Amino acid sequence: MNYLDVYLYFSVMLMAVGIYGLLSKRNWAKILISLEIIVLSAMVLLGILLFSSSYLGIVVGQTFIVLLVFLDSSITGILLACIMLIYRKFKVKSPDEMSKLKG
Amino acid sequence: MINVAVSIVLGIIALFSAIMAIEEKRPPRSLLYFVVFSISLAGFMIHVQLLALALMALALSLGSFAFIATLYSLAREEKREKKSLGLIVASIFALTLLAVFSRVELRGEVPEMILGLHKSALPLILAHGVFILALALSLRVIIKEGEKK
Repeated sequence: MNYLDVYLYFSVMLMAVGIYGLLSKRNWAKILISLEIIVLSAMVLLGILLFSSSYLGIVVGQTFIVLLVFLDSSITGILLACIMLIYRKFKVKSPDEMSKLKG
Repeated sequence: MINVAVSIVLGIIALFSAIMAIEEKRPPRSLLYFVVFSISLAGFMIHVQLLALALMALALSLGSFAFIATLYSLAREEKREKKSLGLIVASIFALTLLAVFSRVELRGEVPEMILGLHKSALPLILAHGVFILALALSLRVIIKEGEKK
């Protein structure tokens, strides 16, 4: 087994843990933690796969990872803005209580 | 060889602390597990020879730590536990491991020494960290103002 396979399995398991947290938890902070875990696992996966290939892979990898950094910051900012607006508008502290959005 | 062994140990620690950060009910311990996760993940990346990527991941996750610590004042602990969640996580693991075993084939070797990112990307990452920190501080100020009213 190649060492890269081990790293690949690690990042896949980390992503599975993040998806589990995203699906199961009903707490804003834990949803954000799960999102961070997913983003970091994607970063590990991209970094290992792309940096270990040819020169083109390195260039593409750098582009992807810089893109991922700013995507992550924008996701976090938008999520926080949504949470603050929902909290101010509906005064709810849990995603389960957002029944007004169901229509 | 030592790098590989240490990276595997750090990866296991990161995986365990990620699970505990999600599953822990007390907010301070959950945050502590998240910090352990981010530091051990950075150590993992350093031992995989992705130094700049490790620094970037550490900056990202510690910036998010400030956000999450602020958000815990708005959050509420869930009381009910779903018993079918074991099935969800088992199916996710089965699907992802099936995908890895059946589809992905790696041709590369372990890189000799890669710094990960070009030097010109580092100021952008620093600016990103400052942005995250400023957002967290402004969020804290907004919450304090709301509590006063």
